[in-house]
Amino acid sequence: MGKAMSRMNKFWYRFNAENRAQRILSEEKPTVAPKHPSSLKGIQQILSDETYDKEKAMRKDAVLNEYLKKVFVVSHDQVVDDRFKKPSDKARLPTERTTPVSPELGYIEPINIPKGKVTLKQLMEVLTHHREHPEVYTVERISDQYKISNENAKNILEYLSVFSIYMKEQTPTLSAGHKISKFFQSQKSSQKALEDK
Amino acid sequence: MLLPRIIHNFRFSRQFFLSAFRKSAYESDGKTTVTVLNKEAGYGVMVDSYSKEGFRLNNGLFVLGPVILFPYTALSWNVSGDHDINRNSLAVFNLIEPKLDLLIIGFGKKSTNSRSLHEEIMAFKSRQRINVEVIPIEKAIATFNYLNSERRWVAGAFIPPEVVQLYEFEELNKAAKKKENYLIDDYI
Repeated sequence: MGKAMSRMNKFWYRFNAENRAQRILSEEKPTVAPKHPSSLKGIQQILSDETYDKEKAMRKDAVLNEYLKKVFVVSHDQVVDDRFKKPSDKARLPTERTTPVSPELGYIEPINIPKGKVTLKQLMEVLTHHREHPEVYTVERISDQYKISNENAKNILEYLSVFSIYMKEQTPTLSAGHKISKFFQSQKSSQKALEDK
Repeated sequence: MLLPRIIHNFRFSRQFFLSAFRKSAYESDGKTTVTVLNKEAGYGVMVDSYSKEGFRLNNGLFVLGPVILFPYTALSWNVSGDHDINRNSLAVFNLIEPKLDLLIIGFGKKSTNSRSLHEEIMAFKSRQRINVEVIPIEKAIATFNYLNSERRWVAGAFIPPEVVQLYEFEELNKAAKKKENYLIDDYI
């Protein structure tokens, strides 16, 4: 159906095309295309001005023409644009050879943070603040301060938290464990000895 | 008092290491070097081992429960399990700027064929246009470690496994440690 329709359209648009073209070409003076309303407005403004003399504007001014003939632009320096020149072999070598420093948190801190987003650094900040003062750093305050939606702020505080670290107390080392086992073994051996007797 | 502490110290978990060949692994006959990623400094946070309770990171800390890992940071993830992964608990990954290269979700179950995956995670992935990989936890850890070593901007959302399968030598190690900890003697 699509193909048939397109054929029909093609036929319709090209119908009697040659005759129509000839009719337009045979006209002595072509009809001027209508002006855009925006430019029309400006033209009407100039025409409505009483001081505007159309005939004077159309006439060639001899004095101004003489002035124009005296104006020259002369450049003495040779204009060289480096952008279009082939760079020398030395210039094409890398300028910096140091290994790039790996960023602190594994990503390069963005200069502009889009609205509704946070960086990992800010996220950690939010979580630590909320842990320390949960009554101060509420959902509303966080969404206000970091420009994130209320829903997202709520989700962050609900599902994420910073780990609290528990260090081990002084735990018995392996050598202590050996001592204990030796103590038991010695007891056993003495028991065995008693049984043997 | 002493015994629980000892048990705590020697919590059994499957050792998990990945090795990679950096620079030139092979130089000449008999000169081959291997770099163990987790033991190398400057690679960021990696997971050394896992158990039902949590994960041991390569900085020696043991983290309890589900965890969210970024190349140099670890955050606690307050979800109860695989079924609790939804658009709300994953919202943070969409919030982070710059956008993540890849988000790896480690499922606690052996199979990733679940209702929440299809209804929640895939919907999240397509709506937020984030690259998400959902894999069972054992493989997820390996993937995360390796991608982290390549210095990619990845995040891992891991849930401790429901079942930890030990290999034969690990079982033997476990028995040996148990014997040492509980002072079990063969003679009795």
